[in-house]
Amino acid sequence: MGVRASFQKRYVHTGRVYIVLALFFVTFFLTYIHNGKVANETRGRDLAYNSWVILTKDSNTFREVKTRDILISNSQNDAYETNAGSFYYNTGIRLTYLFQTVSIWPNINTCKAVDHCNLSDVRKHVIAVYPNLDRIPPIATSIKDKRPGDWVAQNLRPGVLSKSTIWDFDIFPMTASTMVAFIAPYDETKPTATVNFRKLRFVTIASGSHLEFPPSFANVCLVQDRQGGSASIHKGGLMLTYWKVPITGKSPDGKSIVSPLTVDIRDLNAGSC
Amino acid sequence: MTLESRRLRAPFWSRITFSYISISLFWAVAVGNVFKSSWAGDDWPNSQSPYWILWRSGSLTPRNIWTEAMYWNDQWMRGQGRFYPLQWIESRFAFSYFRELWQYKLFESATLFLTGILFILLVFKISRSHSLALLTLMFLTITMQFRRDFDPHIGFAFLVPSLMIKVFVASLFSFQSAITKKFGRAMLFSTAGGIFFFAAMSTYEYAFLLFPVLAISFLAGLYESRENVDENSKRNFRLRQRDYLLAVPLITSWLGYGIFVFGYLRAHATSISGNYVLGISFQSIPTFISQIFTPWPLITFSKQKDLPILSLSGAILLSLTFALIGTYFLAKLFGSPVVKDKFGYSREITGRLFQWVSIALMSMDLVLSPGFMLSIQKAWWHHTSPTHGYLGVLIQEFGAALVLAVLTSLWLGGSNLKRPRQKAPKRRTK
Repeated sequence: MGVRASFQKRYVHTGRVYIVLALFFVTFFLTYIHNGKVANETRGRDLAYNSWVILTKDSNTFREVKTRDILISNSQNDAYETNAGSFYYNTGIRLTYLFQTVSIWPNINTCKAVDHCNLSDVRKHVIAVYPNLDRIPPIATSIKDKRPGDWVAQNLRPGVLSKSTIWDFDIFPMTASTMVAFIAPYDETKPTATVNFRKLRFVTIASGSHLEFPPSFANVCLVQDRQGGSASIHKGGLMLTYWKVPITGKSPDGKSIVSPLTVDIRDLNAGSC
Repeated sequence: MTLESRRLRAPFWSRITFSYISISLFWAVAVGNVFKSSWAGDDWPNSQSPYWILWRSGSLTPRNIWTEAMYWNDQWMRGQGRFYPLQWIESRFAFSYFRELWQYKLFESATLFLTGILFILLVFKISRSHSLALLTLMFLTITMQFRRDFDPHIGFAFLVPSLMIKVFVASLFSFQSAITKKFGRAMLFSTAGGIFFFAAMSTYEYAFLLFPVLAISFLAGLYESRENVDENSKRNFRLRQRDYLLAVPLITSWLGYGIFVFGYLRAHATSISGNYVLGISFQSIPTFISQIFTPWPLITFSKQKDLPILSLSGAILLSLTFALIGTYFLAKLFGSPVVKDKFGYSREITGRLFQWVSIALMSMDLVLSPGFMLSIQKAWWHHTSPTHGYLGVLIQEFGAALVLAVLTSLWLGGSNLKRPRQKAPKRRTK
C-alpha cells in the first residue's frame, strides 16, 4: 500500500481537516496582526508620559519648589500622569496639590485680558477649593488632628496654606516630537494672575539629538540656560534642554526687547524663534 | 516493522500532551500581543493610585492600599449601588506592586493565558473530549480580538479575565462536588464553588448572568456520576436529596449577591448615574441582536487600519502551507483508528448527548449574556453595533470559540463518521 493511500485510509476526513486548518491559519495571521496594531495604538501617549518622567525624575526644573507648595496647571489631569501623586513619587516633593487652572478660575476661558477681566487672588481661590479634596464630611478640628496621616487634613489646618508658594506650571506638546514645560512663581502683588517672568524655568524635551527650533515664550526668544543644566539625552533617546528668559533679547519677529518682569498667565504662549 | 505498528508504539498520552502544549503555545503567542500595549482605558488613571496613596497617606503600605481600595468600594456602594470590592483590591495591589509597565503587562497576559487554560479544562471535564478542548483553545486564538474602544484584554486592570478565572474555578469545583462520592468532601467542593462564584460577582456584576455556567457544570457532573453507575440511572436522571443539599452553597451565593446588590444597595443608592440606569424597551432588541455578532473572528478587522504586513495573498499562501503541514502532522499523530477513537472523534456525540447539550447551552450563555446586560442599560441603546460593545465582549469570545469548536468537531467527526470504501475481495476465477 502506498503512503498516500495509507494516509487517506487512516484519516477519513483529511480534506475537512485541511479546510479547517487553512481557514484557521488565514484568520490567525490576520487577527494577530490586528491585535498587534491595536496594542501599538495605545502607545500614542509615550512621548507625553516619558517626557513627564524625565522632567520630574531626571531634571532639576523643580529645584526651587518646596514641600507644601502649590502648582496650578492647564495640563493637570488625574486621568493621566500629570498629578500631585506622580509628582511626589518622581521628585520627592510633596505638593499641597497640583490644581487644574479651570478649577481655580472657572471663568478663565471667557475672562479675557483684553477686556480688562481680572483673574484675581489666586491664594484665596486655592484655599476655597482645597477642602473639596477632603474625604470626610466637615468635622471638628480636634478630630481632624487625630488623623495625622492624611495630607489633605493636615493642610486644612488654619494657616498652613498661607505659607505655600504658588507656581504656574504646564507641560504640553509643541510638535509631534517635542514637548515643552515651564514653571514660574505667581506674583501675588498684582491685581490679576501674573507670574514673575524673570524667574521662569523653561524646558524642551525632544526626540532626536538636535532641537527642531529654539523656543519663544510670551513673545520673548529664550536663551539656553547652561548654568541651569546642560542638554542631555535620556531614556528613549529624548533630549532635555534648559532655557531662561534673557533680560534683554529678541522677539520672534527679530526686534530687540527688554523682557517684562511679570506676565499675565493668559499671555504665556509658546512659539519658536 | 510497518508504519502502523511504529505509530501504535508511541504512547497515546504523550501525543495528547504534545497537542495541548502545541496549542497552548499558539495561545501564548496570541496573548503575547498584550506586551505591545501601553496603559489603556481606565488603566491610565488607576495606575496612578499608588502615587495618590503615597501622596495622601505618606507611605505605600498594604494597609494604606487596602484603605484606598475600601474607600472607593464604599463610594461606589453608597453612590451607585454597585458591589465589586475584589476589583478594587486586586487592581490597587497590582498597580502598587507592578509599577513598571512590563511588570503589569506580564501579569495581565498571565491572567489572560490562565483564563484560557482553565476554560478548556472545564470544557474537557464536561465533555470528556480532548478534541473539543483542543479545538476550543485553537479557536480562542482567533476569536480573541483587541478592540479599539473599550478593550478588556489590554486595559481595565484585568477585570474580565479575573472574573472569568473565578467563574471557571467555581464551575470546576461545582462539577467536582457533583462527581465526588463522599458527601462531606462533596460539600466542601460545593462550598468552595459558591465562594468562588460570589468572588466572581464581587469582581464584576457580569458574573451574575454566568450562573448557568455554574449550574450546567454541576448538572453535568451529576449526570457523569450516574453514567458510571448503570444505564438505568442514566436514563432516569433525577436529582436526589443529596444533590439538592450540594446545590445550596451555589444557589445561596448567587441569590445572596442578587438580593444584596439589586434588592438593597441599588434601592439605597444616592446617585445612580446614567450608565447604570436599567430598563427594557423596544430599543433593547436591536442592542441585544447587535451584540450577538461582536465575538466572531475578523469582525473587528479593518482594511484601512489593519493593513497586514504581508499582503493578503501572501497570508493565504502561508496559511495554506501551514495547513498542509498541520494536516499531515495531525494525521501522523492521530491517524490510527484506535487512537482516533480515544482522541474523541468518533462515537462521542451519540454516547454523550447530555454533555454535548450542556456544552452547547454553556456556550450560548457566554455569547448572549453580555449583550443582554447592555440591552437593559439605557445608556447603551443606540450606541452599539456589531463592532462596538463593552467589556463583556471577552466573555463572548470564549463562548464563540466553544461554538466554533463544537461545530467543527461535529463536521470533522461526530456520529456520522464516514468509513472509507472497502474494496470488495477479488473473486478467484476457475
